[in-house]
Amino acid sequence: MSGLSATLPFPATVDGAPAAQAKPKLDHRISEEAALVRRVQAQDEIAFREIVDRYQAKVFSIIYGILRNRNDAEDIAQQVFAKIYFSIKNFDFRSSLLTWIYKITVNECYDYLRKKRVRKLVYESEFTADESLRLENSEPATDQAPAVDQRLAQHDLILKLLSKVSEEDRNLLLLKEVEGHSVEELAGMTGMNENTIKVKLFRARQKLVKAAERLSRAPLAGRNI
Amino acid sequence: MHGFIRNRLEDLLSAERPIAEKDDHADHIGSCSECASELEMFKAQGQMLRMLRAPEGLEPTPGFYARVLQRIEGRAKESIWASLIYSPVSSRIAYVSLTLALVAGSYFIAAETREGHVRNGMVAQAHYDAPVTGSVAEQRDAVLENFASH
Repeated sequence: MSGLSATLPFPATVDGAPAAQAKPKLDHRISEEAALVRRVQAQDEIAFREIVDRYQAKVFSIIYGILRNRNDAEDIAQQVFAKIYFSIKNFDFRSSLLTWIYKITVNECYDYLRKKRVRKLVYESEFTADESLRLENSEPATDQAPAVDQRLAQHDLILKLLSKVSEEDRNLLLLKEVEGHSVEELAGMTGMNENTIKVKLFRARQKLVKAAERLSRAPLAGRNI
Repeated sequence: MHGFIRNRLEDLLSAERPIAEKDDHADHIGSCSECASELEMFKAQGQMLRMLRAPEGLEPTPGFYARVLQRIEGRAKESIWASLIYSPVSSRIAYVSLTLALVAGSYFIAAETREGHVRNGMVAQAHYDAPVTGSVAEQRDAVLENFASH
């Protein structure tokens, strides 16, 4: 991997064309969602309920994806919405509401993971039970255990690696790879231009690779979050 | 990784089409081992990240909003106490109160000790009974004196 490429900024043009097309920047202050946020900021409980109804499934899915445990996901989802309620007065409309909620949600998950040892958590999770049951019903028992173990280990590893990068890098990678947003969508959601998103994603990916290298060199004893 | 590939990295990593079909970038990747290996590494990383995707159609259990409200109420109460406990004014008030309590406590203990000596003396005196001896009249006086002293 070239060290120089990591530090040099991306060129302003790609194949002769402007990299970040002069697209009208999405103004998060004048959307329907912004009006809803303003109502919540003015202590409108119906508006808050609308936000909960609109995002509860999303928030629950994000948490479940990370923790793989329904009870924990439910508990943390409640915590996330309580946090949204108390801190929405500080929402500055620089990003979309979803991006802001996503950030709170992932941070809450990582706070939780910091409190619990991730290995213990993953092995106790429903992921093990669900996956094991599903596999037991479909394939011979001899081939299942390594597959489940491998997936658990990878799940564990990626959570660990994500804990080693910054909050912004982690959220960008998750929004891109887990939520499947395009660079263009990410630019709209975060208020940054597409070129900046590309640079940030590239650097985040490199940091994750470096974190994996460091982790593989680290002694086994120190491998807990 | 070469800038040429890096600029199109996100397109190349997207799973819509295999890299071989992606125009002239494929030629470069075919000839540049550094770009090829880094691209493969990022693809594997993307696959691992996608393991964090939750199954479709997940929802919290019914009554979620009510539980959120309960939590908000709980946190609001906590925050009132927290603001009382952790505010700088309240900590100063607490220090002053503690100092006052210590001063007042030591004063009362000292006063109690001093008063205690006096009272003990009085009690010792009060419990002294005159001996009931002598003639009947003297005995009667002694009994009356003892009664009066109680």
